Amino acid sequence: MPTLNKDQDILIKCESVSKKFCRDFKRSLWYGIKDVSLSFSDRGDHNSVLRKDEFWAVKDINFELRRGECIGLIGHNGAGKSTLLKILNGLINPDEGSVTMRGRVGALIELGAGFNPILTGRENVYNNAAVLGFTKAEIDAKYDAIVAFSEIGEFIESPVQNYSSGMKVRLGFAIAAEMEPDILLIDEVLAVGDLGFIIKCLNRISELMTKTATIFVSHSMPMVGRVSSQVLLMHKGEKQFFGNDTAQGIKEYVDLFDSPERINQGNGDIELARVTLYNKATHSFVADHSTVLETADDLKLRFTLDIKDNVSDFNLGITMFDAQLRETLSSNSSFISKTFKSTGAGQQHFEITLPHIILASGKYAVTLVASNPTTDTFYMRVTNCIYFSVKAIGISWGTSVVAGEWAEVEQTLEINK
Amino acid sequence: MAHKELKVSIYSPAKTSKKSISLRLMFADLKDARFLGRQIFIRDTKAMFRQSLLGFAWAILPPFLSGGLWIFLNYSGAVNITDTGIPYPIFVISGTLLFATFTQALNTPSDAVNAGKSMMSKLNFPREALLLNAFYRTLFDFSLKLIPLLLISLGLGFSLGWSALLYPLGALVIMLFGFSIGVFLIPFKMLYGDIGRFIGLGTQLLMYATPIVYPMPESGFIKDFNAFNPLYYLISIPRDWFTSIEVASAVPVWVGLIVALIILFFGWVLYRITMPIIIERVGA
Repeated sequence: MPTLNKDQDILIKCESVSKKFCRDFKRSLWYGIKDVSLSFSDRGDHNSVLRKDEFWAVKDINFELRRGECIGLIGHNGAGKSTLLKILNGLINPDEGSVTMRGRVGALIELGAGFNPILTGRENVYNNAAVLGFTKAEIDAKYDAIVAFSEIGEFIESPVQNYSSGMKVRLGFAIAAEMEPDILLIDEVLAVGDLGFIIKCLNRISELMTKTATIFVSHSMPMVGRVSSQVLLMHKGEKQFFGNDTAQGIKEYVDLFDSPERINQGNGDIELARVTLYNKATHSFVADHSTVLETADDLKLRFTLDIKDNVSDFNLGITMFDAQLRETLSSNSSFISKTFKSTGAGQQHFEITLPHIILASGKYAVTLVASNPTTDTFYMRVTNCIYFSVKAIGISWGTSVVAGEWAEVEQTLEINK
Repeated sequence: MAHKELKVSIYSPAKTSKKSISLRLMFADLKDARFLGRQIFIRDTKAMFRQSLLGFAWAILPPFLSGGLWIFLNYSGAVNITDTGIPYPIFVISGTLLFATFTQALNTPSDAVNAGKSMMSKLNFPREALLLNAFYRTLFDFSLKLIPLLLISLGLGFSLGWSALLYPLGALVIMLFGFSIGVFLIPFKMLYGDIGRFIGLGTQLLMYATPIVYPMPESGFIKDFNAFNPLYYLISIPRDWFTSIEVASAVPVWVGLIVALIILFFGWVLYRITMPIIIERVGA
């Protein structure tokens, strides 16, 4: 692609876009009336000052997006993601700044908009497609492809009210997927539907994305990591992070949440008295959450248990959860057929070493378990008993990162010949 | 990849975007909205009839009933209405049909926009489609209600003259008159529910203050009031056309049409300017 086209290929230009909302509904209506009347006069406006009860829902957001690029837009509920998307889609006007959109916009925002439950799938294909901006001829031409993609089969002639929620989403996505947009806006639409269909949708989105500038809003970090070339993290309407380092963006997103409290489960015959992690910075075992590990460091954990006298022996286990609650690493004393004996009622101390940790960057929660070796019931299960962070050698949104041994060789071995 | 000419949309604060309201853009959007407007209308109509046993009967029955009620009141002597010069049932039904068309044209735009609110708060489509849908709906309902009027006239052996062909044209004018006010009121009705209630009350009062079920009195308050009531002219002239009574002057109808078109245009501009503001305040 010649570089001359570079500016032409900027499809979305978002220049210091801000939008304010009003907390109080009645006052909001009153401001609405004022805004309507002011839009006809040449007097000053209230665009850049906050009136009573107003707040910035989106504040000073800037970015440019070219064809083939994708921004993953992430943030808490209420961080301003959907509002920003609405501004980009032209549904509401910004109070400050401006948005320039070049080309046809395809919005995967509400699947199946315009469906009437009483009408058949076939009729609703036309309803929804018309809302999305298709012409009659376009729908006629694409109808078969839509029905095929949706895998609805003969149910296409049944009323949509008889469809399951998954079927409605399938049909809605199948229609939307036939758009040929220059700009694609996607807002959390793949939450319903079975795994097979989600994969099919993601593939279709990936296909579309090579030709479009895409804004992808999702709370599913694996999906964001998979499709985005950049991440924009919003917090209280403002830009908290923006860049190509998707892993860093996702990490900052996750760090915005408070770490969950410790949860004690099990029958109480064993209780956790104290847990510490080896902190290489201070060369000591610490009980707080400050430990930071690098790739291939050893993780050392010491803990003290209060054991009641009815317990004779027990297995110990440890599990790490990442910030998205994925179980990323587990170990159990039973793996090496080791069972611990109780020394009678009182405290006993233990240490576990997990060598050469290769977890990806992020924050991890530790769960400690003590269980009955014969019945496997839990004497103790403490979730989130301590946290640690990993700073991996490289960027990845995967669960593990290794350095690898990379080399150039004379000739690749061709085994099959 | 060949670069086709890309449509450029710029979104900026309402203040500055006002200047970008151009006739060209408005009519381009209207053109784009035609298919969607028709599609929404067909959708709603199909769904309405598919979910009812009597189907079209529901559209035809109400004029029979309301007309029948007035006829009953008149013949039973509960109300005493002076001779109208034509069979009373035809007088009542041809008048109430026009008034019903007016109130429906007045209310349908905001109803249609309200029904499309959640869609509007999520997707960008030509907003004119909702107005077109409302207009089609009013037109369709009028055509349906025309059937009982014709049936009753024929049933009573009333001979329709050539001027009866002008009746639908007159109806179209009062329809546009109601529709234009309806479009103008959309933003206000959407922001405050009070306005809808006020209009409901107002139209009920107007129904009785306007000579629709009774002929114009020779003198008195009603006569003075209706000299300034556009609805009186817009109803009585088409009704006279229908019943082949000599119409003194059709000028009020043409004036009504021009006023309606002017209000409609400004209502349309207002609708375009205010919709983003309203969607952000009350959008679902």
